[in-house]
Amino acid sequence: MNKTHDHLMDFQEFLLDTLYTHDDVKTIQQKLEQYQNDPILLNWITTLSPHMLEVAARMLQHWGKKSAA
Amino acid sequence: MDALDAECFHFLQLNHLSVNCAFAMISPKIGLSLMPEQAFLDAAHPLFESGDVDIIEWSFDMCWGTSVPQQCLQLLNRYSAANSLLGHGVSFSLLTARRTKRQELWLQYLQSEVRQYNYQKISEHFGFLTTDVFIQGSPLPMPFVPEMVDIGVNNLQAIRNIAQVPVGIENLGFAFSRHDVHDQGKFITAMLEPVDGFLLLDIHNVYCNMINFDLSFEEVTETLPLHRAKEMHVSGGSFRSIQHENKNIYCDSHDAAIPQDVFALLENVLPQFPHVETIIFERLGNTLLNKYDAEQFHDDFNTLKSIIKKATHEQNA
Repeated sequence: MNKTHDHLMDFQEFLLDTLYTHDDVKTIQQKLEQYQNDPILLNWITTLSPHMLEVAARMLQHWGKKSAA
Repeated sequence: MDALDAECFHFLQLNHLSVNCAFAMISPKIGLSLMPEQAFLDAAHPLFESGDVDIIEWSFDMCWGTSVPQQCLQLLNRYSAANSLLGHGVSFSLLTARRTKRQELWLQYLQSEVRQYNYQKISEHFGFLTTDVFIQGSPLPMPFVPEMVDIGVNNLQAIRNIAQVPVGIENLGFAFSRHDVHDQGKFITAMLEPVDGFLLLDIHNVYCNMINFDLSFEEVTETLPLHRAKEMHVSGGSFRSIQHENKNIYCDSHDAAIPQDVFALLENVLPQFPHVETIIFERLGNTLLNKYDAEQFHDDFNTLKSIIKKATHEQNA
């Protein structure tokens, strides 16, 4: 399982990092839409509501914690 | 009565029983999500003392590596011995795409946990919250693609292999879009099927999606495997204002009284779930700040109890 899903893990890191780093919804959307590695994932990104992206960003900035390593 | 008659009689008895059972609703047990905070233990004390709490749910991973209050340990031992303890994970992260060291550690802790306590079932949340870099977060949905389903199923199987009890998934109170709400049900269905798992239907989470996406109960739940619902969660939440178009979004924050709309919703839909065995009331321990909050907590619990009693009575009348 570990090796075959690396691209999904990269996508999850990318999604969390984008939400964790940015406050402005338009910036979040622009950053996410730069993801070009997988058309299915990119298509999913385009369906995300800007309101809920802002909520996700707020939640992650409140609860999220990065590894010190 | 010869052998054939006896067999026919037995068949009729069984058939009669099954006809009755098809319409009967077993009264679900009512329970509390146990919180380690003293304010919660104080507020819940009268309910435990009166014997009103049939079952407890313990979010074990919340307290791993910390000191659990003696009062909490006593309750865990008491309900564990009475086969009335449910386990609920909050941080495993079922849909993290690659098994992390933190998840391996989580599974090791689970092994000790199930040796110590007699859990009847174990559930986790849908979604992912951690990766290699992010070691803490909030559960978020993922796109419904076959690879992600495989990841979720493998993780559920890992939990089940260790716990050796039925495993379940709780629906999320957060979705990225209406489309996401719809896909979440299909996703959970696909994950539960291979492990014959149960659905932990969080009524308040359904309510969050109803409010935030202007959907009906039926629209939110239409793709969920409702026939697998064995447990329910009920709680309260609050609105958060966001900057984008100055909207208010309703969140599953467990920090307030159960809304009257949620009570009404439960009363309305409960008869549709004759196989639900347990209904758990959730309230964060650190939100019970004063006597008023504690009274509200008791009122909510008692209202829940009366709704369950009424639904069971009406269904079986």
